[in-house]
Amino acid sequence: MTTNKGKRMHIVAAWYCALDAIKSWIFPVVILVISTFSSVDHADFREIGWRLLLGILMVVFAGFFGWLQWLRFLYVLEDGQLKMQQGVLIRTQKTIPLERIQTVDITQKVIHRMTGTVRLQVQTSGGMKAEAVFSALSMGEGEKLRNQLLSLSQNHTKPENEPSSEVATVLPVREPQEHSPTYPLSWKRLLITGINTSEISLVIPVILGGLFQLSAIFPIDPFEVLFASSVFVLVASFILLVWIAWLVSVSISVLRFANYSIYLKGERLFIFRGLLEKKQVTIPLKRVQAIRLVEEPLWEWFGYVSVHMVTTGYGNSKGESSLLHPLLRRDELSQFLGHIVPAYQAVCTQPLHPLPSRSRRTYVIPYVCITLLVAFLVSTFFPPWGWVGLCLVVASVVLGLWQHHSSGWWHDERMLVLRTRRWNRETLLVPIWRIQTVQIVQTPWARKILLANLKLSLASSSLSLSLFPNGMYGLGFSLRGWDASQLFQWLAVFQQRNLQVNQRKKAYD
Amino acid sequence: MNRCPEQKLDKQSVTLWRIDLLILFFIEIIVFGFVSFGIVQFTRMTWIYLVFAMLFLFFGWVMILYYPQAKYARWAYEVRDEEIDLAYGIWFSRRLIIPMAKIQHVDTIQGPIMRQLHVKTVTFATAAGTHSIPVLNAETAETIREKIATLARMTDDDHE
Repeated sequence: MTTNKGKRMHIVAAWYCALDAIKSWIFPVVILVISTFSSVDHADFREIGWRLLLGILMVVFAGFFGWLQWLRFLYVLEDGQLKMQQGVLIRTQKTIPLERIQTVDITQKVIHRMTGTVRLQVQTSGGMKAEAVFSALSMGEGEKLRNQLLSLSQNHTKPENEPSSEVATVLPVREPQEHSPTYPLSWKRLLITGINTSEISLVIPVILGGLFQLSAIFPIDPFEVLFASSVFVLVASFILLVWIAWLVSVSISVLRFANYSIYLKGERLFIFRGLLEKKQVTIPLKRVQAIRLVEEPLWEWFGYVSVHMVTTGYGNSKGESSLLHPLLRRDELSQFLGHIVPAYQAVCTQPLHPLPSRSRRTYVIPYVCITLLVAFLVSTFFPPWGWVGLCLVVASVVLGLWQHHSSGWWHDERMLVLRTRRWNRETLLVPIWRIQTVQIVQTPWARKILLANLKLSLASSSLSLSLFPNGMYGLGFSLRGWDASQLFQWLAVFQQRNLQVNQRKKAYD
Repeated sequence: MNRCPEQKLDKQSVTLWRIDLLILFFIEIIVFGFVSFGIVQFTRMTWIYLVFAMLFLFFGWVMILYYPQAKYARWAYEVRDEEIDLAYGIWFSRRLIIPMAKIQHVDTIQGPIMRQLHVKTVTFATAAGTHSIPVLNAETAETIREKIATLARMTDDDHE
């Protein structure tokens, strides 16, 4: 049994509870209101009045319900446990042992910022859902609670045997209270993150679609005007289009990454971001499974990298949550990783081994098969557009060769580095002991020319978005077209390590 | 170091997969029977029946006769102290290695048909998904489950 005494949240929490209640009732209310206005031609004002009154009553009741929920929500920290009780009709009591707490997130929505409160969310080692949500706490109380939760849980989970020996020698020993240099994202960088082919190429069709809509409204057709005018106007309008697309893309990245900053304190990463909605995330370093370096073709050209991480337990379908830094120059990368995730510093600048030239066909042939089919269909059904299909075939060959050229690998006894490209160039740095399963896949053709594909799986709670077999998304990571003998050499390293772990544990027992 | 797995599945696996395929086959016959009936109702192309029948005969014959045998011939496993090593796949030949330290829990599963054949499936879960050795003699399956359970409990290298 939990005790009856305990603390309440900030009163603003009642607002959020009421909002939740309204959200769950919004459907009947909306139906009520819509049916009211759709029957307005019957002009029965008394009827309308009743229904509106009912709607208003529901809102008032939601407010009251929210207040009750706030009243009934009690929490207390005692005996190394976070105890909470909540619920109006169904009362629940929950106890979370502090050593199981993994991440504590603090967010501020607009109303939080106006009232000087924060939202605090606690996650434990199992599962994706938040274990405890405090919808509003006063700023001071939030900070205090977070520090209490984290410091206590840290004391409990201190790894007692064999700390990472390499980390200890590479880094000067830090006091746990002192934190690493912060890496904020400057405004200049924020503008560069907007120069991003994937986003711009998404925005341009939207703008063109808008123009089509305009041409429906105005008597003149903008496209007709453009193609009738000089080359200069055409080029200028194209530049204008790209510039507008860039502006849109920049504003998206401002919304996403404004006020971005990250530092390491003790064994935890602290990440801050957000313009209107402020968000603060803490992630234990232990949870980082691998580092992913993503280079958008334009960034790659200018020498910029974005750094992501693969983590367990934390992260939702949105890509930002697994972000370590939105944009770094390539020469800053080594220092950044050294401060934030030290174990990965040494390998991030390794020159990689290229794939053997005979594996080009494994990259080109699948694309060519698909685009040839498309070209065939296009030229039979829309004969004048046949050349488009042909261009597609050529483009697919170029893309395949480019992907092959960009791919590569490197390994030693501790780390594995894989680099692939779909459109963005992605480099995966993974410590060998983080790998959950290894799969080697060969088709009969590949076996004939001594090639093999490697597929890794890592522990991660993020959704698997693996649309293409060579994409490095979600749980699966793969590299096609290795030289089979080299791949089996790496496999031997991996198996050797499994053997060592087993022997060490046997000796320990 | 690169020892290939050598243990084979239980001989009953071919029978089991054939029964599974047969059941699937009958379900498909019913579904496609309805579909082709519908098509004939609308278009009066009675030859559709013949096409479906031929397709079914051919694929059913190939699948039920040869596919389980080919699958059995390719499947091999080995449970070492330090890892589980699987080799399978007819067209894409796969070699799957799971370190013992990554295994979170292990189960055996037995369906009604499997009970008749006295076989079991051993499944093991890692943080990145579940894998299995599909058809093993019930006693072998139990010993393997016990073995994996003790070994997996012993090795946990999360502090590295």
